[in-house]
Amino acid sequence: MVKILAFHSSRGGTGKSLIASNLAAILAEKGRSVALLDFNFRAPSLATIFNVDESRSYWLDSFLAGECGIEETLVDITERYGTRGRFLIGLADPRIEAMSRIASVDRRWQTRALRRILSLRKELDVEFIFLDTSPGVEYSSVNAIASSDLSILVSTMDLLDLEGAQRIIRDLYDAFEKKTLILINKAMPHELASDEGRKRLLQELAERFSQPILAVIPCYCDLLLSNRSTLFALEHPDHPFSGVLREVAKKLEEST
Amino acid sequence: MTEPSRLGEVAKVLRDRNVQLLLGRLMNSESKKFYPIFDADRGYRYPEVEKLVEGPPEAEELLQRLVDAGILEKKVCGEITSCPKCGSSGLRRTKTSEGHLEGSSRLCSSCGFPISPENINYQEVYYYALDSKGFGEISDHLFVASILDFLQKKGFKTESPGYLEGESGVVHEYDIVAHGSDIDNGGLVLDFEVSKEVVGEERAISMFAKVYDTTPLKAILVVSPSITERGRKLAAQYRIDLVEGGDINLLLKRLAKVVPSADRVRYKSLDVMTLLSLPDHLRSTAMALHSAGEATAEEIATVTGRARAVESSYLNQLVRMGYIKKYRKGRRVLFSHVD
Repeated sequence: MVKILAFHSSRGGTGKSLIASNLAAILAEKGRSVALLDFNFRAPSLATIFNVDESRSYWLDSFLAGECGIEETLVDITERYGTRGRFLIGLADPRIEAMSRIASVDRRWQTRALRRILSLRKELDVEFIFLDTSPGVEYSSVNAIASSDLSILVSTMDLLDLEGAQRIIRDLYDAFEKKTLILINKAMPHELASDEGRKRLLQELAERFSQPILAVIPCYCDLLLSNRSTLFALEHPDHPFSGVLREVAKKLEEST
Repeated sequence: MTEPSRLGEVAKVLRDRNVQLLLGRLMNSESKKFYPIFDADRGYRYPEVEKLVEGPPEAEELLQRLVDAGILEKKVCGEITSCPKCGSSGLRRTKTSEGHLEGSSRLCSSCGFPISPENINYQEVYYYALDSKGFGEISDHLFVASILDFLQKKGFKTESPGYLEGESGVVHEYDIVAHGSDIDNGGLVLDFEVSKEVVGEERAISMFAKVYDTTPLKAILVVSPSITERGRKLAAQYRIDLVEGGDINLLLKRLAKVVPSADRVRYKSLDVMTLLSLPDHLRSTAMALHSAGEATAEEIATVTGRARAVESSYLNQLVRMGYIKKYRKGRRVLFSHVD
């Protein structure tokens, strides 16, 4: 049975697209069928990460508008990455006119879009659907969260991110009764260097969040310097970042 | 100059709900006239008027009252023949022993009395129209006609009387049913009561029974001059907009406050931001219906894990709030989102 996971954050720059795309790749490599959909219609990023040209007929925007079926918007990248499981991506139209158009749609359009997202469960023949959402409270992100089985809230240890995450959990996730996991990214390495430091950080997070902590990923300079148009976890399987994500993938398989 | 005593008499006639409804229908009809139709037993009848009263004699009586009050005028529109013995208008021609029709001989199809050109009865029949002089005097007292005119100017398509089928399968009659440009996109229902005294709360209760069954997007009860305090409370409890007033100008002024333009009487969007604004119990019901598309209360209950009766109540709340629609398919009562 398909599981829908929304990757969300209170603010931009937490690394959720990087985490979502690499986790999707790891699961596909393990033989799982995965569809990774770009739900950040105001600032799409997956077209760049996966290097897809802009001369396509249909984008996810077209699917939400009811202009095509979901299969017509998907790009099969299984062969390109040589994964054992089917690896599909759905892209948001990165052109400025498309972003402008979706910013001006009305509530009726958004209502129909929500129903189309809910229909993905029946229409997409995969094990995992990852929805890489826009940060904060926007229609596309709330639509994704309302339609998902599990939300992964990605945050840094920045106070603004943490407090924003708490607000989102209280006002949004609780309202839709969504199961939520917290993933901390870009943690200061020195805080994780010792057992005591790690314990203190986890204690701080436990006091702030009642939701389970999925993982705490340190900030890696080599990751920041890497080419964003590659899948880091596949290219550098021995890197600690890839190791953490494999652990996360395992937990997601077990929890779903 | 009109005599004050006659005007007083006219005003009394116009404080009758049936008179108001009848004049509303007349003014909204294409011909602006009530024509009779042929009836084999009675000779003729006025079906439009009979919708408001018990039967053909009462219909004619009502029309005559309005003629006497100088509101309507009646004019001959033809004549009918009838049996001199029983008055029936059903006549049949006689046949010869060979089975051929005989010349002008007839038999009454009701009592069999032989009828000839010498003994046949002729009776004039009339149509009724507004008396142009009398109408000028009463135009300020025509409540239903004025309300229909008001709604049409707001962009509604009106039917008076209007009919809606309820969840029970019963077809209910409202004094006015008004739709926007899209008939499937909800509607407004309006009932009307005019009286010489304060109207009792029964009017609010009887309207609620219809509204509960048919769940229109907006229900309005127009009362002249006023309703009891209990009636006001009940209308508020039942989410019926109450409009009270002694004269039509006041009623229209108050009606303007509760009737939006036709394009705004439509189902509301149930998008995620709206879902967030709903109480928790309604949100999960609405989400379950979003996923299902179309479902019965029982089917929604299996998703939410709550009792069917509870879900039925929540779904009906969402219908009354204008977010979803309800309809029957055979014996099943279904709820669905609205496009």
